[in-house]
Amino acid sequence: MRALLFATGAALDRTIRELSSAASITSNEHYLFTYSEACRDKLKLKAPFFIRKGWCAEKTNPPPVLELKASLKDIIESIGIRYVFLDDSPLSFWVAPLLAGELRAAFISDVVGARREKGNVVLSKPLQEERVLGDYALQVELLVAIVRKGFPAVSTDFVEVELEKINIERKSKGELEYLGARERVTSRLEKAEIVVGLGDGVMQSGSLDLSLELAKALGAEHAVTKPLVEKQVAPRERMVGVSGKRISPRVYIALGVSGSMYHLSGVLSAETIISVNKDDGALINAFSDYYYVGDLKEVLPKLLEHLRKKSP
Amino acid sequence: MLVFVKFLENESLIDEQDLSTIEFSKRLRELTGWRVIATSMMSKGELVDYAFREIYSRGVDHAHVVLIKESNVHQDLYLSALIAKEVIERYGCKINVFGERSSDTSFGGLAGYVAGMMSMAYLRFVEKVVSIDDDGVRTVVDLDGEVEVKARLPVVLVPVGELYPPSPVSVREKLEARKKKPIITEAELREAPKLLLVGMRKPTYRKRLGVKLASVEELADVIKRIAGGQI
Repeated sequence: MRALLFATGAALDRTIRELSSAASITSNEHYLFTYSEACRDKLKLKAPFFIRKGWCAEKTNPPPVLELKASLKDIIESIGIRYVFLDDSPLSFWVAPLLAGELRAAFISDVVGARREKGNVVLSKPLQEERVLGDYALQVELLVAIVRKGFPAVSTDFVEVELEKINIERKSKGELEYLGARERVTSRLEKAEIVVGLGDGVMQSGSLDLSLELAKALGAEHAVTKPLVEKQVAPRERMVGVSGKRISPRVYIALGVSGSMYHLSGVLSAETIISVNKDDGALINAFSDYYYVGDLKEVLPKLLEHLRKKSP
Repeated sequence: MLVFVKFLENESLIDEQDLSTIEFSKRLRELTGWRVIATSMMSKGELVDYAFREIYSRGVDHAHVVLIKESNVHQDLYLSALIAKEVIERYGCKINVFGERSSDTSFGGLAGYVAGMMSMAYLRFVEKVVSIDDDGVRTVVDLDGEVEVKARLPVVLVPVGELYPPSPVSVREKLEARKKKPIITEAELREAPKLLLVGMRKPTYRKRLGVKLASVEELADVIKRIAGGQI
């Protein structure tokens, strides 16, 4: 059985490792298609497991969605792919269901686990606002799946992969016509080592400026919860959670974040979570490595002062 | 135009994201003058009247509920897409609006799947619709920056929900909604699901240290140690 992995964006090595781990449940022969800045540098990708062949498409802005879909379809049909595993980037969420619908394939997003049970492929995904995990048995042999960031990756030896370049030309034939693009200053959230997350508590305590000062002082990027986007305090590109970005920083510092699963699902793969919240019973505390209970308005000035103190 | 609506909490509460998709559809109505038809799949027939009073009070023109017998419809995207396709074909809708992650029964992707299945143009992350005419719909979408895209009709649109907060419902609108009835049809499923829900369980998360810090000084020390150095 053959699987095709489709990866974009930051941390490509880790993403491919995660996709390969999911694909290893279904297939022993993996192919890779990537749409990444790494291609621009003609980088030899290092990928786990045996990847038979790889293709890369030069990154263009805006991404040519229909042409990427067509390329994936060509690969699937020409080499007999049965399982397609995509990363959970916004581009994949655009391309994958479109591709699955056209091929009438099974489609599942947010895959967080995969196993074989009595010969059947079983995929797990969160349901009901992340409160439960659903196990799905695959009934057909053409699957398009989006694998959630943080999928448990199996450690294996690396092999080098030569990527063959695919030229993606815009040829949508009037279905979609790009009239103009304005590149946004990327927030670099996905690549950030340290992320300071701002929740509604920051607004309620009037601590927005101090919170941003802390982020700046730590050289961190700042992320926000959904209410802050709704209040137009921050653009949507900084939103983390189910319908926002999923990030895996080395340190995530949550300020005034109560910890709804809606938001938490976007940060659970952070290495260390530190939180400050005035509510001792906030859910975020149960998901933190370190937490402090206090009013941000009082905590932040003292914290900044302590952080600026020179060590003895 | 059609707007897909999902109900939560035992099928009695409109999904918050779909309140935004209804709002988005109403803005498109202002641009086009086209009717807004809301549709939903429900398994509990006895809740239909209540649920659709909720929908009508939000200002849609018509409502259509598809009763589903097999609970698995709510768990297999393919079957949901077949039902959505039937409704779209019934009304010949040129614009079909879906919620970002909601009207697709937990799967994410119903909108795209339907578009792929029906060879329709598909736009996600729609921030704004600039204009609509017979030639197509001109939009601003968020894809690695703001992109102005024109798509031919018919089209499937998924708006950025956060940009379309629902307007409040007045008592008068609630009373008016009581007078209206939805069209009710039953889903006829002739195909098997492609994915079968075989179990549900509580998720397990990585165990965190869960250390409660006693002072801001301790908090600062932890941040210095883990986030690296002093600032």
